[in-house]
Amino acid sequence: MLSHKISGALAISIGLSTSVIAQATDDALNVGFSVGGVKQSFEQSETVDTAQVASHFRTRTSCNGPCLAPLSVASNVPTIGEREVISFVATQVAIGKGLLIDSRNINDRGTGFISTSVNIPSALLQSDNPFLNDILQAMGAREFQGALNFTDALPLVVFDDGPSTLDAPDLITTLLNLGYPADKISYYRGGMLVWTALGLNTQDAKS
Amino acid sequence: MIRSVVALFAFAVVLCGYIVLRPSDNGRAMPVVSNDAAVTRAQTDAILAPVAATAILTNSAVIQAPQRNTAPGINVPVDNSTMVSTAANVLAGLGLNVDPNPDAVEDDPMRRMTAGVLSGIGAVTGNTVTTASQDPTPTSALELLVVQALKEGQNDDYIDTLVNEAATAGTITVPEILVTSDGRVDTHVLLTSIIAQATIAAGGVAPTAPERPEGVEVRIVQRATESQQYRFYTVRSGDSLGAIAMNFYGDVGKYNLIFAANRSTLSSPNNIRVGQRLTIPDA
Repeated sequence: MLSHKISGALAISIGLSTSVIAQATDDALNVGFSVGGVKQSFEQSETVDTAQVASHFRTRTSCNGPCLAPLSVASNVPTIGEREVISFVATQVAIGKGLLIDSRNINDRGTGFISTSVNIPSALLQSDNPFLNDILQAMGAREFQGALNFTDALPLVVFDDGPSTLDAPDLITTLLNLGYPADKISYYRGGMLVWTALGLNTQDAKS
Repeated sequence: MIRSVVALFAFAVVLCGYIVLRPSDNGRAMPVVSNDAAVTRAQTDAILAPVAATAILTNSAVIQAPQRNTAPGINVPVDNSTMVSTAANVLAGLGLNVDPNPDAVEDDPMRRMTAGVLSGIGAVTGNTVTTASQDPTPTSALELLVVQALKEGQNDDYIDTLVNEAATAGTITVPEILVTSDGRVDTHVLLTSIIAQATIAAGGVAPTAPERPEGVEVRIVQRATESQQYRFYTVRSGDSLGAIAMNFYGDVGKYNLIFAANRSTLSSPNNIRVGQRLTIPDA
């Protein structure tokens, strides 16, 4: 059983009005925020559901070589941890100024996901999707004279099932090839495997 | 004598009158016929009223009008757009905002998944984002060209010439399934799809597949316990994959069935060749 306690002032509550109300507790994480009028929170349990953790460990026959994600996907794309993900959601996603992207396919996402994340499998960002530009524009890109301008593109944090999968590195590489600025992308390498192993709560696909 | 002169004069007057006033089959009659033909599609006034536009688009004369042109063609520039979205966008440009065809959306996993992504992003950012299928507007050069021609009340032959000239000049791109075996744009299929969508939007019955598709070749293979029926079609001059799909399924959107069944010989939907024998799977 794994347990983890984060002390200090990580407990933050943010409303859509962008006002920040910090609620610190001594030994537990409880970060509340509201997205689209729906109250959500990140909490850390004292216990860990090992079956849930195991469900996020998988090796892929599609991997070219061992399924071990690199520590760094590309230069200028920082690899971040759980604290940075929580802070990103609470300060940017909560006010519509950032996107937490779940890069897994829809079946893998069905095992549970981080609250507020948006599912964008890399297959949807390929050139054979006639609606590719619709997605990029929804992410903040602007079309001008037939070309996309990413100046106003939203900051992204991309994750997948964890260090044993390559969905997130693949999606980040695809985004970079499409022209998405590297300094607007972060890679959460721990993914669902580490997130659940740390006892952090997830959202069920049916909820 | 005087009577003879008067009689001759009267004859001359009658003859002159006949020459001047006789019914003519010369060039003066042609513009009238041409003008009649040119009003078979939506008029500008009708565009303001979606229902009226539908009625004009769905009249029988229009449905029978499109004829496939098999003149020698050119290399047609293609794009990734679908017939469903192209037809919907043209109708939107004519003031007839059809809802996205739910069946088509269900049939297109990429479109369905994209709609899910856009919905998810919209829920987070607070911005409503839609795909072209959800919010049709004419955007491509082909759609704008056809909308303009239909607003002017041009007939099908005119639109066919217009579209093919634009494709030759490289100023438009078209859906892959509109490219014929001789390298032209199959405007017949495009116009028929527009009519079909307008019909459905107006509450009409969707076109159905003909019972005996034209040019079908049926082979029955008898096995010990069962017999299996196979259908084939040999590509003719002027055929497009969209036209073949319409011939067999009554729905251009099902071209993918034919394409998927013939991937070994068909590199892309715009690459069918005259004489090519295609397997036609059941719908």
